[in-house]
Amino acid sequence: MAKAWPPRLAKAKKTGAVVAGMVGLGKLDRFLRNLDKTTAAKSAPELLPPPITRDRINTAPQNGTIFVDSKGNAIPAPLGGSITGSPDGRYIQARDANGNPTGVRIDGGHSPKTHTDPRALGPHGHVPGVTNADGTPWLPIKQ
Amino acid sequence: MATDQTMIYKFNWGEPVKVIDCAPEKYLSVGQGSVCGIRKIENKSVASEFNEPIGTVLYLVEGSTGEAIEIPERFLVAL
Repeated sequence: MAKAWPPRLAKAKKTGAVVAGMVGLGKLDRFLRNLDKTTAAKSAPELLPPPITRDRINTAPQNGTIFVDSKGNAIPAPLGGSITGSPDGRYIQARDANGNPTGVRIDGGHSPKTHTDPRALGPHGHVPGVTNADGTPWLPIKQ
Repeated sequence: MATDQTMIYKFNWGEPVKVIDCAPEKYLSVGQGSVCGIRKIENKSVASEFNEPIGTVLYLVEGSTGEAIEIPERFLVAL
């Protein structure tokens, strides 16, 4: 027994739209079969580079956010945290959900009146618990 | 990034400052330093933490050894 057409398709059948569509699908089917014999005969890995897959693990502190400045320096902030900084972007501080500084920051450089180490006078970064080999906290950053 | 570009602060980023002698003990350890962050107190929680009214400007001041703490504006003078 022939399957009844749904009302909308029945109307379309009368106009021949479905038939035309079926003809179109037939052409598509033949096209795909021919494609199989040519380029598609090569397996996908031969045509495309292998996909890059990464584990979807949030590596930011407390599943927070990693901000990146225009130079490519990453500034991680904890969940609910944010960053603040100077309008020119030379000074950036990571802050927790309460707005308190986490200690991670980028400084555009300090005054020679207050700092003597040359690394403190130019742009540098700070990460709690991370120091240079000599124990100083003014870390090199991308500039 | 949160920046208050329309606000004019007493001290600017990178500016050398000095903690005044009558400041609370916890701020005196910095002595003098360089401004590296600025924010305003916006809620009661932070206000009570610093014992300052809402709207007070806090400066993140880095001392000569690299340690940094937030200090209310009224305890700082230009160096």
